[in-house]
Amino acid sequence: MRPGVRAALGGGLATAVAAAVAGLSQVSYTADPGPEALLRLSWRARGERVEVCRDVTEEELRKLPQHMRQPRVCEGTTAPYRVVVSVDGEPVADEIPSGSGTRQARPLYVYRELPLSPGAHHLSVLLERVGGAAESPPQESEIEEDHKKGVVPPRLHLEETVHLAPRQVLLVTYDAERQALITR
Amino acid sequence: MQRFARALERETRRLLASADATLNRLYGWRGNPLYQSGALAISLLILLIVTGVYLLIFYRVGSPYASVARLNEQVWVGRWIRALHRYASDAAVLAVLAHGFRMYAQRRRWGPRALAWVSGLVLLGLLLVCGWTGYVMVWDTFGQVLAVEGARLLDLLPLFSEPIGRAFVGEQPIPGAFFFLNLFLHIALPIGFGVVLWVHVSRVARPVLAPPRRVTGVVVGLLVLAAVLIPVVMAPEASPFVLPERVPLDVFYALWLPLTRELPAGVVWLLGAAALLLLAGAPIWSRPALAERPRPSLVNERLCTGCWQCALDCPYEAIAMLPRTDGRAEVVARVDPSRCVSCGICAGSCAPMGVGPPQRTGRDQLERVQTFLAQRQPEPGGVVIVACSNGAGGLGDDPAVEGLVFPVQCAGNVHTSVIEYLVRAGVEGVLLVACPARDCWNREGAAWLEARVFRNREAELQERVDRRRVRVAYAGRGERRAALEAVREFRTALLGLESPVAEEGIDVLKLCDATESVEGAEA
Repeated sequence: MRPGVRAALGGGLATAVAAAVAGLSQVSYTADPGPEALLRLSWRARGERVEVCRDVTEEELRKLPQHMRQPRVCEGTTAPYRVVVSVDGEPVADEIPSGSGTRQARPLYVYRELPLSPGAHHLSVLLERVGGAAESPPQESEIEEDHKKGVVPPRLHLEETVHLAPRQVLLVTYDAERQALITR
Repeated sequence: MQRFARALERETRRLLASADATLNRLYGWRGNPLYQSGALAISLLILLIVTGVYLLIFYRVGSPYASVARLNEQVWVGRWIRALHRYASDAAVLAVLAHGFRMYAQRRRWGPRALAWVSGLVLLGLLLVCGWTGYVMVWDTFGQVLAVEGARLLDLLPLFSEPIGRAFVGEQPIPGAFFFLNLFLHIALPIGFGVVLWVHVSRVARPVLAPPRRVTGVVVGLLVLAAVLIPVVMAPEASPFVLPERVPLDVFYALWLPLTRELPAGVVWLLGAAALLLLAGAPIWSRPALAERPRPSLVNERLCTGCWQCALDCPYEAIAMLPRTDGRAEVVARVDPSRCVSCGICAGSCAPMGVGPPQRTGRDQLERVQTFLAQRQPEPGGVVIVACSNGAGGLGDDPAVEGLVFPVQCAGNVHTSVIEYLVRAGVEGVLLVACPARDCWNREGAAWLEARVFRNREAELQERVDRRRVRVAYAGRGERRAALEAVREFRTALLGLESPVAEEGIDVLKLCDATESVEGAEA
């Protein structure tokens, strides 16, 4: 191969590789092809805490190290809630979100995405304590006042007609200050 | 599994030989960027650090997108430096992949090299994670898609009490701490690079960390040119309330993205774990059967004069010089089998021929060449081609070429006494065909061979040997034409010389003075 041809081919190949690196660095990728919109439910809320407390017997106390001798112990968890979502009267989601943590004693969270066609929709989102507040009262509840603060109400209902643009994401979330479900 | 490993190795070798041969024809072996892939990756990392420092000056964790957009508006500097940062990171991935491919094809992945293989995978992983954090830092639509997909995958693991994906849904503005953490990782990971790189090269002596200046200059120059002429697209700002339609995807860092977004997170993890096991397990599943593995070098302590040369030449620091226990004053060489890859370089470095892999020491080579000449009976004026069986245009595997081919496992194994023996036996000339220096499977075989033949490196070719009858040529595995051309050129050069005189009854052992002196001292 003549040196001139070799230099031209070598230069051409090197330039092509550099151009390919630049090109492959920004390939146009269709992340969400359709015009579909998205209904996104996402919130974190402190559910009602259910505690069962009992007095510890003298015998049990004696078996414990001195620094662990609590006369009264309470075990608690977050009460179950149910989320029901309907779009245009059709139920699209019905689930019981769990409180986070291994004992599910931490605030419950909801995170769900539902595709929707663009246009007007009648939206209904219901968050309700399972069984209702009065139905399953704790046997002995000693929930402190500060626990009760910021607890999500036993029943929240959002009903709204929304107009969704193509590829719009409508967020339904919980506003702790207003103690209501809201859209964004 | 071994059948698959062999087939894969054969195909990767064929592909690599073909690519090397093409680039050698275009750029010469000294300019072949594939030979420099590992060192190029390090140079690109340095370029990334330099350009990254400039970008860092303008980056704001409180307004990530706006700060990058402002940077992109700096037509004269910021825009192309950002593009250069991006393209250099892409080229680094390319260089690392090419390096890994070469290591696989050349069987440099198991035994004592397993540490380098696995740490190389860790380096690739760090590079990819570092790149992902870089893209998320910009917080454009591509960064958002990456972050959301990453969060979706991480949420499957029992690491977080709540899905971290909720951070990107718009409930709350994304906290500055998130971008700070991203920035921290983007800066801290390259520091981790340094540590893992140290481990990566810890088992080699004299690691090559920088490519030749010409190669570095051309690569950096081309990347700068690309950065100036093809600026990086500034995608729209990420928004949790709009699904991005088209995003500029970086194939080098997110080739997997279109696939994983369609699959459940659990399947993605399973596929990822399978790929990782396959790659990380290569030193086990792809190694030859025990009986086929080359044996580590051995030292004949009786012959060892304690000259240090084998320890100096060993490319893997597998030979240590220790005090003798037999009453003699000198130190003695000891091979660490856990570090020895059986490259045989030590066989060529030992003047008294006291070290080397079994059946491949200088003495073994002399015996073999004696038998070789007796069996092949070279015609008067014949040339003997001492060819590396890994490269040399495949001549080492093919005796049907003009001249007589004496194959060796690596040109760096050849003891100079073998060359002397051939010349004194009356062959017209000895052509040593080695792999190009940076293509040597044993790293320094070609370099040491040339130094021993022409620059008096210890275990040197004796002065009495006519250098006109000895030549070293370089040819990669796929460069058969170049190797044959070297043979023809050598034969032409030999035409002008007087006929060689064959010595009768050469005493093989006498070729090694040191052997005699040791044995004489013992007697």
